[in-house]
Amino acid sequence: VQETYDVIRSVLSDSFRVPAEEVRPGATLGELDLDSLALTEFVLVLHERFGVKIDSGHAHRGTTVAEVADRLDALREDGARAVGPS
Amino acid sequence: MTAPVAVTGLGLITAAGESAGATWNAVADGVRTAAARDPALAGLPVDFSCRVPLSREALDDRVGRASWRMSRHAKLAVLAAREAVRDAGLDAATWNGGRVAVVIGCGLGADDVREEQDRRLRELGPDMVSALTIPGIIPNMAAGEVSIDLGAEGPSVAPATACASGATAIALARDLLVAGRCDIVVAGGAEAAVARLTAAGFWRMGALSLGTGQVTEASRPFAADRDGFVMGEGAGILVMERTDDAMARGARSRALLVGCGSTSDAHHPTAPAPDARGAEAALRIALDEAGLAADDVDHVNAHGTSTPLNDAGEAALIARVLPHRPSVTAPKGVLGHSIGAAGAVEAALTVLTIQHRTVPPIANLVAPAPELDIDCVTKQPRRQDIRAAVSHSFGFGGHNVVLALAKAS
Repeated sequence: VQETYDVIRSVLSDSFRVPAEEVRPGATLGELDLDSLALTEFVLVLHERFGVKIDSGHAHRGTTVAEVADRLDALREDGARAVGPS
Repeated sequence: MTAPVAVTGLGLITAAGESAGATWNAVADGVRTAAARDPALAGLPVDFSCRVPLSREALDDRVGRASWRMSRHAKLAVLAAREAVRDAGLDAATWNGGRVAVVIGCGLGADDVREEQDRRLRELGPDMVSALTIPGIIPNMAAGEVSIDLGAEGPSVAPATACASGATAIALARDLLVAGRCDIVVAGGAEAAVARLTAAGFWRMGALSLGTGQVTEASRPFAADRDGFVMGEGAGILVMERTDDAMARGARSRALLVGCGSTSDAHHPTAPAPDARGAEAALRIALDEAGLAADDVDHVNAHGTSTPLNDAGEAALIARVLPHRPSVTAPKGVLGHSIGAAGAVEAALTVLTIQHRTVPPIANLVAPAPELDIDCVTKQPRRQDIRAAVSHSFGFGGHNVVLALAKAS
């Protein structure tokens, strides 16, 4: 979802000072200069913003921004289904 | 005697501004304290402080990309260190980093980070505690981030002697230079510990001014009605080199560090020793190292916190050991007390006092308390040719550090 991607982009620039022009869907977190400390913090900030926690396997230096967005959307969909009307 | 070392660069970021020049101008004017009501302290018995006048965003813009992981005292240290290195005419991109040491004192560390993460732990659980907690709160991270920022790969250390930390750093840095452990040292102090728990703790000790009346008049070193210090923050950094090295590269020496005296009261955790005997010993050692007689001291940059006990003991010490009445100033009148940074900030201001031949007045002081027999500079700057000056720093724990500085040439 575009909205998810936009939030991730603002997190990267607000919390990690990644220049907005460097953020592309295909850019890996490593290419954006996120080291292991930054990745741990990145997962926490996304957890706060979206209410779901990505496991580290889906947020490593080789993960792309688009993949993070897809994973978040999937987790949120699961969460919505779990609490939704049956 | 110990060989003097050259102070070739200065960097300051304080409540009075974001450079050595801005800080000097405000201190030399000496009108009043840079204190203001502090939203972070809202609702506490003491709710004002002397903050560096830069927002988090403004600091981050100046520090650059790595700022995301830094706590405030590390950012202040990085900015002051860059200024000092630039001022020394050195280039961190090309110097031999293996021969550059970093010694940056810190008295407390990032107490705001500790408080915030403690709150998250209690309210949200361990999963929501930031991975930046430890890098944020360990007091040596200012030294660590400066060494990273400057590519300084020599020894680095963060001495903690409470309110004397910045001066201890300069004394240790001098020793590293004289021992040949490095060729350049980036030394000073950084502190950004204005936080609710810190403020409440100092208040409970009775150390803080209650600021009845105008908060800008709360810090008034040596005044009869002084009632405590005002919490501040900042960073002060000196670049120092052996004098022959500085001369060989054609560097300008702003002043010489000619002696360092470090002693311990071995008396009480927070109360100064009777008769300031530990402080006196530190002063005498600094003068001995410098080959100076007591009456060679033209000027004293006092620790002058504006607490009743410190200022009384320090004034008695000055009157007893330096009875020829050297001029006395106390920058905490303008800047508040930046704890672990203060000793370095004041050493830098002493260098500037010597260079500008101008002694800043003590803010908020019309005349010293009648029982204090010292020559406080008041109301306006005083022109004075200073050959040698001392800067005093004393810290909880009974740490005493006196730095002796002298005119370069």
